[in-house]
Amino acid sequence: MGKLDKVFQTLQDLEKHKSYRAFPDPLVALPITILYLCLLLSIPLHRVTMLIWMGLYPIIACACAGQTYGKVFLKSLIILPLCIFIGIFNPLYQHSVVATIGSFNITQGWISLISICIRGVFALQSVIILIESNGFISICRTMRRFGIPSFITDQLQFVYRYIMVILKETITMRNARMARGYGRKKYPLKMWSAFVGQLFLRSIDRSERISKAMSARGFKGEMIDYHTYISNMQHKLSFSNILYLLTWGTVLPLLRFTDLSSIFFR
Amino acid sequence: MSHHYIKFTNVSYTYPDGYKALKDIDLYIAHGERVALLGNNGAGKSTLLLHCNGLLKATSGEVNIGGIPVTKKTISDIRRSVGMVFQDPDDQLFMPTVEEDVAFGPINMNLPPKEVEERVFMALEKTGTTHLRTKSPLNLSGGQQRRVAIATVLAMNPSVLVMDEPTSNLDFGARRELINLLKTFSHTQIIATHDLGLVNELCNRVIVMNEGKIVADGERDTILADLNVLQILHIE
Repeated sequence: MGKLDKVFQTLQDLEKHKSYRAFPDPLVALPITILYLCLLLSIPLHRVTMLIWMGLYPIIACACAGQTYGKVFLKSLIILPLCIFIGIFNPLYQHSVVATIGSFNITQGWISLISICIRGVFALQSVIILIESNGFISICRTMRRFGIPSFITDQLQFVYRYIMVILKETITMRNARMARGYGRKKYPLKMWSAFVGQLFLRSIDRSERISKAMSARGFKGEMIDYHTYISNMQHKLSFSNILYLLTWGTVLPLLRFTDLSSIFFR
Repeated sequence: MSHHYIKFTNVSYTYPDGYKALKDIDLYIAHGERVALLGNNGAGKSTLLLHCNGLLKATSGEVNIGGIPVTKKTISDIRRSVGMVFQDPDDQLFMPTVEEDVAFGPINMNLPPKEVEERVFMALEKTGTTHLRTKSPLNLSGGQQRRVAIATVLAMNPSVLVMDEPTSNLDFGARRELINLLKTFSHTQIIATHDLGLVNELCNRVIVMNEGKIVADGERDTILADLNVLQILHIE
């Protein structure tokens, strides 16, 4: 299975087993994730110990949502190259020594690089947990409930729905190229530009056809959620969800604003 | 269901790039007829179908559905009575789950929630896809996708069903099931197809198109026995 096929499979599996009764409910999981991200990203670069305490959230949230932390952790490592790219020059410019281990001097630059990597990994983990436990579509609907304009949430839903169709087309085009490539692996830039151009034209063509299909069924500019429509806008949170919201709503600011390391390891 | 006829009067259509896809089409299809639209690729079949519910507007001439001319003002009424099934179900099924896709039309028609639910149930029941209700259209087989695509249109309770190559890319089993399903419908049906087996089983009337014009129109057996028609369609 090629890389593209794997991506396709992962995306397909993501929505397969989603139910409308996921725990935590997206109405709770979304604000908690946003709160977590805000608090995580507000921690100063040099407070690495505080950052590590914030790692409690993804571990416990994983357990609550019935996910395996190991898998989430491995997936989140994908962001490391980007984090390293952002902070790679910090050790070169920030020379002041903040700690010494044996004969090694740990400079502020290294601390900030590690800090960027940790917060990148934790941030991605929280987003992975959110999407894997509720599904992307469900998150989009919750965003709509929180007042995000429908043209944004609808676009996100469509991108998610058709990214797989476009991926399918990309796989077909790649197979056609490979079938006539006779084992050739490298292609000139000119070929790639033609490949991407072709894909772009196909995407436009498809979007026109989808737009026609939507107009044919009376689309007037706003996608209305079926479940919300038939249940007359009522959506009650269970006690466990309210408890989850209150607990994290209290614990996360505590993790951020109190120095737990100095309390526990005085 | 009201008694809707379809009438094309001198309809021509030119695409923005200057390609003349339809040339002076005159056509009348009565209520309850099942009509096959035959022709080579590029003959204008799909363009003609897109005119039936106002997705394309004639460059000249008039399209009339049950006495209502297809104009900007009448378009929503026209789309309620003419249901269009597209060639590629991936174009038609854009919602996350089957039931949401089927409900898309009725919700846009501003029907009360209870009626939307009933229509979804009815359409899924008629097409034998109730068990697929909560599945994603992406995870369905070609035959199932085609059935769901028909269900999305049936939920709008149309009088006319317009289908663009409904049996393309289907295996023998799925094709058979689809033909049997279409036989159960009492709607007026216009089917653009290359599948002569389907034409023989479903349609009494055949219209043959070539280079944007109607070159033959009449009873199936007469038309398909005409050597000129067979030559146009490249049937050996």
